[in-house]
Amino acid sequence: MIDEEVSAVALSIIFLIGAFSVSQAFLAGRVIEPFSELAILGPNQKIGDYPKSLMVRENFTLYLYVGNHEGKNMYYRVYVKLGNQSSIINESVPLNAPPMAQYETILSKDQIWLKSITLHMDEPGINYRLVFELWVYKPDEGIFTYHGRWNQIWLNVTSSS
Amino acid sequence: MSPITETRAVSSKGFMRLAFRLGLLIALALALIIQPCLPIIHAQASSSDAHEKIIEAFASMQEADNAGGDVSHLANKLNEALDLISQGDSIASSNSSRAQELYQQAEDIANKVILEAPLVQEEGILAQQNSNIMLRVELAVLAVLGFIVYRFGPKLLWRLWLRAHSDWKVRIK
Repeated sequence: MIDEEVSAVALSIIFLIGAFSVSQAFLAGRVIEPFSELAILGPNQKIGDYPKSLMVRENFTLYLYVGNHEGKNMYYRVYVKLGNQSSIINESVPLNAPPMAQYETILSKDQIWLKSITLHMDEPGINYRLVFELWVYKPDEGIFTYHGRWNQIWLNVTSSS
Repeated sequence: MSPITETRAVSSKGFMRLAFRLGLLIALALALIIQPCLPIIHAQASSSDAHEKIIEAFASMQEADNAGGDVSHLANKLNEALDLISQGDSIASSNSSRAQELYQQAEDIANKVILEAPLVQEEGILAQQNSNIMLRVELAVLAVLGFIVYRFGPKLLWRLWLRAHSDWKVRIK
């Protein structure tokens, strides 16, 4: 009786090891919830210290942060656009404005990208929305499409005179 | 045929030959003029051409990745190429020749990635095959181990138990 119990325990342990090995082999590289990250960091590479008031043509530095957790390689493009209080943007609709600038990167799985960018504003105005949109290249369609991730910072720009 | 008609026929043939030769000369001259220009036209890389090449390289990289290859260094190379395009775009209006050089460099890098991707793909296929073989070996070893434990485990356990407790004495109260 005791012999059978010992055998059962040993076999159970061996079975568990086998099941774990097989599951690891099948689940390797699978991402349960794929997602991409987009963040805008201030000049000190932190979430904060964003510029609020600027002069026309005054350069300011920000950092773009993009993270790839999609479980595959991704070709990203970040558009920088200028909007105002009434501009419409959400997870499905990008801002209807021409890009001021664009930045691109190709990230392999779980890779992140931090890029310093320097921008300036050409026109004075208040409550500008500097919008950053994340677009991805869709190989099946052969085009970049809006990925539903966006950030913004509010700016007041005064003329230098 | 009268001599006048014959003379006309001869002069007409001569004119045809002359026209043919002239045509050949013009064609040759044009070819000589155009030929040196052709490579220049091909070498004039643009931002959009470089982008297209990068998209092509990205597709090759994806195939290599799907086969299980390690494509991180290919991604790094393509990012270098994207940086070159970005630099080219920023100076395109002020220094177009330098911008074209940068676009050309970006295209060259993308071409290298396109050439390298199939090798990475093969490495990936090989690595995946090795991984499958290892998994099968592991499962086979576990199966053999399971049989051994089932067959000899209890006997071995008690033998070891007896050896470990050989100094025990039985006391009857």
